[in-house]
Amino acid sequence: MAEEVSSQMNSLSISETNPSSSATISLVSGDDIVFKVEPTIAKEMETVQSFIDETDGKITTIPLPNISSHDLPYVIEYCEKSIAGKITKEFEAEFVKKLNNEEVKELFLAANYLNIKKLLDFLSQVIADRIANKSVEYVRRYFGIENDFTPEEEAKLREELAWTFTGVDPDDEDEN
Amino acid sequence: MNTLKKINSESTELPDCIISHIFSLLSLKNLVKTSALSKQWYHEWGLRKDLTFDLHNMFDYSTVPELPTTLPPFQQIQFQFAASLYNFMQTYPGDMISSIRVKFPLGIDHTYAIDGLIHKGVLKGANRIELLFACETDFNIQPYKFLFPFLSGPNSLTYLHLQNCHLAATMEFSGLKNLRTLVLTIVPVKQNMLHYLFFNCIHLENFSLNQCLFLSDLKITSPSLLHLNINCGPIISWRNIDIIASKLLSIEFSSDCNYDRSLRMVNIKSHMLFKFSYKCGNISNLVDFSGLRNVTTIEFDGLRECLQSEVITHLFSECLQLQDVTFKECNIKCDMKISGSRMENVYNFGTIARLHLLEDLTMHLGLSQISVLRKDLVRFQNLRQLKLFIVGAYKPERDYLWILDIAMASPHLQKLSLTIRNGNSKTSHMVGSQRQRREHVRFIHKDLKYVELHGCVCSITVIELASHLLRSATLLKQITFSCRHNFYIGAGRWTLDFDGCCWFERNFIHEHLKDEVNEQCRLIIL
Repeated sequence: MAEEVSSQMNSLSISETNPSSSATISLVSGDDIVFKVEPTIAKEMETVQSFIDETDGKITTIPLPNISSHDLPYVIEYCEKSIAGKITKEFEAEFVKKLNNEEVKELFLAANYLNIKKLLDFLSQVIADRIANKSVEYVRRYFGIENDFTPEEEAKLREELAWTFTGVDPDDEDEN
Repeated sequence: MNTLKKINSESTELPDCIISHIFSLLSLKNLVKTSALSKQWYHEWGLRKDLTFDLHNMFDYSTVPELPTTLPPFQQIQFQFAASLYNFMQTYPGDMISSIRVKFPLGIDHTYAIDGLIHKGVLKGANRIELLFACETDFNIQPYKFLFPFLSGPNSLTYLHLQNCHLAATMEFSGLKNLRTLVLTIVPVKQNMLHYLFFNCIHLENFSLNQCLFLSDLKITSPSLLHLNINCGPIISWRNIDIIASKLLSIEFSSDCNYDRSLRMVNIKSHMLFKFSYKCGNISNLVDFSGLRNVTTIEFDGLRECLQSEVITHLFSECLQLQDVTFKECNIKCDMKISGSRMENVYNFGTIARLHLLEDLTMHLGLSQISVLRKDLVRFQNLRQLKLFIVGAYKPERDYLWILDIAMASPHLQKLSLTIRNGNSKTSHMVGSQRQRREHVRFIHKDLKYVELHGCVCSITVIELASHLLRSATLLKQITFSCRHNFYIGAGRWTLDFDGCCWFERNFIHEHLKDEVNEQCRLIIL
């Protein structure tokens, strides 16, 4: 697993121009997998950067217990594109196509923990787009919201705001 | 992967604050729907304070991607939109509304919904209302009548934009005391309505009329107005407009009628007015330049008439404070003489395709502008006559050889007139006799015939200029030095104060130049 991920990382960091690897930062995911990234990438992640700043750059291995080795490569990929100024609509569309609803949420939490503003804004919009035009039941499932209305209350509410409940897309079942 | 799932399975739900943020990105229809999620989210949509009602917000792109182009389905959509709007406002749980924007073709048939919207909006403190009811299709929608009894109470409305509405004849505006900005687009306007408007809206600062049909002559009389924008669009009303506004700072006027005039006459009485933008085919007989007396910045766009006889002559004789004049996309058919006593910038000549036809140019400049203008002036390649008035304190290190560059760039230049005025008599200079011969290697001119040097010309730098001209302008017939103490500064005015900086020494000039005058040229020292 570790081998596989680090080879993936090498291919990701080809675009880096700085060959001096002395200053690379090691990010350790919650499942103990090490990702080596350039310091410029770390700068995009405010949480990581402030950790580096606090220790005057002496510590270059940073544990990220809340982030899995599944999400971290996505975060790094996005940050790399962001630094290179290559975040386009096409890239974003391609980026989220790979992710199911559950993964988008996990990635959101990872971005939230690392405090990457651009990625947070982007993922918020992705989630908003994914729940738009969906049924109330779908949105409840998406966010794990429990329905505490009585059937009568809900029926009354749906009648009052009937105009919003028309034209709902069928729920897609890509959730696990 | 199984271990991974375990790590995440507990924390995979998003916190409420994030969900709330995501809901704030939803369209109105989807946002309202969240009230059915659970009791916690029941009032969530009341947090939206800026309400925009348009096709996308009230329907979905997937169900109604655009307005229908045939009438029955269009009316059906209108009906649905109005009903949803009404329902939204009736059930809206928020305490505060900051702005309302409707961008959808509604009309008089939907009055119940629009009235309800404005009523509730104003009650909940909206300070900005935009009702944009213009319809891009050809359907004849009877316009909504704006008549507000609820607005008679106290309210915080500061911005109102009405588009494709009618203002009721009985509309008194008495409730719009706080209004700062009013924009009327495609609204028929009558004098009696404006009368009430300006009488009641005592804080109105910005007023725009866009493509409005004027049903009578208009008098815009407001002591509070700062900015006025009249855009006639393609509409020809053929009315008079009088503008009497003591605080007015800027006027923008535009019309799409290139050859016809959309209005009969615009009279401006606003002595604070300093900026005037004008976009229209012609200006003569439409705008009285005497109303622009204190304007410092003026922009003309798309003028199609003879600029010299119809515009420039009036402009520079009436607007004596001008500092900044822009001609954009104007049609230059004839020679232009541009002069202004305080003119500092003449912009955008570059955009005038026929610039090279300019044959006669008069400019006033301060010493500080020389460095900028010497670059611009070399672009006038067809100049036949150039008059320069230079005002500024004498500096011994400043020379005038840059004028040779302009002459070089204008091979047809026949007459050059230079008037130098020492603006500061404290730095008056004695004529020095030390003369360093400097060479301007490239200079040669074959058309220049007459050179006049006026004012404070008895200095070694001017002698140097004259010397170059005498040697290298092969057809030069006459070079005149004169030291008039007061001289013409344009716009019918002469300098009043005595500019006694210069001891005019005929012998000095003669001594320095006598050897360089050839047979065909006369040196006149007045």
